[in-house]
Amino acid sequence: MFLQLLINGLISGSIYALTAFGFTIVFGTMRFFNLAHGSAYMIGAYMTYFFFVKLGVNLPVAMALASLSTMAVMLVFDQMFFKPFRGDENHGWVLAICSFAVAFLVEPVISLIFGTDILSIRQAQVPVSYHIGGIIITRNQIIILSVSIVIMILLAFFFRKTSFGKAMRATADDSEIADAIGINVELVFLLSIGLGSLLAGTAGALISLEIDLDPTMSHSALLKAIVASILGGIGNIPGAMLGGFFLGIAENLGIWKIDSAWKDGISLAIMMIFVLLKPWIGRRS
Amino acid sequence: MAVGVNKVINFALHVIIVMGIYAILSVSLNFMFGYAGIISICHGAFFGIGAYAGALISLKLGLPFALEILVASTISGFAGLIITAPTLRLEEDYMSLATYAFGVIIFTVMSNWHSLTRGPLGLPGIPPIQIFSFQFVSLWAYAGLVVVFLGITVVCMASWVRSPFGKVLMAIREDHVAVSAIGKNVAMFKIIATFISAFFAGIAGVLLAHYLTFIDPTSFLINESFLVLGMVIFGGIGTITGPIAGAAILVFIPEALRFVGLPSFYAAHLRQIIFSLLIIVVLLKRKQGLLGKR
Repeated sequence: MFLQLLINGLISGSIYALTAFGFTIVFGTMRFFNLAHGSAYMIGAYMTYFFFVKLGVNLPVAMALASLSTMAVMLVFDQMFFKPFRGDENHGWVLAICSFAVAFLVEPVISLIFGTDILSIRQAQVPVSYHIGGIIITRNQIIILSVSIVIMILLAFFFRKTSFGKAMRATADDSEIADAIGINVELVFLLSIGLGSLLAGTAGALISLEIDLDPTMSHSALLKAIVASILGGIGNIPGAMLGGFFLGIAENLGIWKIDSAWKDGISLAIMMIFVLLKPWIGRRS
Repeated sequence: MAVGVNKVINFALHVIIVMGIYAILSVSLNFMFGYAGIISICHGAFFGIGAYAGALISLKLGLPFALEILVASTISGFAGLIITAPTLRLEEDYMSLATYAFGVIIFTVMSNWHSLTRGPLGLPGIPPIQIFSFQFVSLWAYAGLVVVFLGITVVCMASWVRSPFGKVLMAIREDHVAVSAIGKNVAMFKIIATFISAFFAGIAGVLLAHYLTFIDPTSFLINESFLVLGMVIFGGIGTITGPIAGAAILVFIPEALRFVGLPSFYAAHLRQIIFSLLIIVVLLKRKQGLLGKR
């Protein structure tokens, strides 16, 4: 039982980690809480449904297309709604509200296009599962875990070795100095939103293999991203990823004893405990 | 013809009641957000706590209305303390996260505490408000009641804002370090402001519960909180008339859409689209809101 829950925790944790990345990187470089981030996750899931079920594209291609279209949509939102506030003093809460309004806009649009009924991709495929030493793991779960691990290795490479990655880290450290030494800060902002929503879209595409879709799924995704980012120290990329895994495991071990309907409550309780013990860990002034 | 007139009158009364309830909510949110600078994306939670407390008191205890509304609003006020007290040190944007999280927690509690709230089934059969032997059943009477409560809320808020207490709140909004430097207890002022704000949100909740006679957790989703915040931002942060105008306009649009016969599926979604676009446009083009001055 314990091992099974641990594996389940790792799998949901990898989804949380992918989602938390975008939330934390946008705060790191652009200094605002992107409350529309959950929408990227939802768009990723719905676009996977659209490409795979409606258009009949094969699944891996559908998921890749879904992630890319999520990135495109979020970049358009950024240009339209977030860009005008850049360089504005005290833009933090205004952008938080504005991004919440964007999330509020995406929800009815999805409902009008796809309907409010629950949609499922799972039904379109044959469930395959493996039994390894008393643990049941489905093929989809293996896909989720391996894709996320590959993405994380690529991310680590990107941030350590490439000049774009280094520019992003420099901007997260201090955007004014980054600007002064000739880093194209606007490009870094676009990269942050783009890469963040690409991964959130991928997370949504991956989770659509496991759960059903409904137009309110963005809330819980955003919540997990917030909690994971805060656990890891907001703006800290490896921290947010570890936070995601920690959250996934803690939640799954939690529902061992507590009704699963309280899952969101458990993650928030974890966050509250963290906040009270060590306020806003890793926050730079 | 007479039927048509009646329909219009009933619709108008219904709109007035809903507008009044939301105006109480947005005026109360404006007190903490507009004057004290404490952002809250969980006003829907205070609203819900007030509604649930009121409904449960009248269903299970059957207290007289005056006592019921006082107790329910006080419970809601204390919920305000619980969220604000540990988060007082946070900056505005962090505050938005903390209150967002709190809103979700309250929603989870409402939908999962089956023995008290009956979870997603909701609480049906909330009795009408009765003061002495008069029952507020007709729309006319209820609209009157709501307007009276709105009047009380506005008079309280307007006079408190002009009082020395309100001046300190506004000073905290501008520069809380300076205020603490002249010896004011900033934390205490913020706590009192949140208590008052959540208290009046609770009153709005009680009024809603008795008007609908049925409540369930979906009436108090995080979206509801954002709706109220939107009314304040749209109407004008830190003004008395702004939030009332914001509530009136943002309530009227969707009700009108439904009245002209748009199916409620489209009306609900169209309302949300219009609403979020209005908020974005106001933030982009006129940050002080419709009636705000700066």
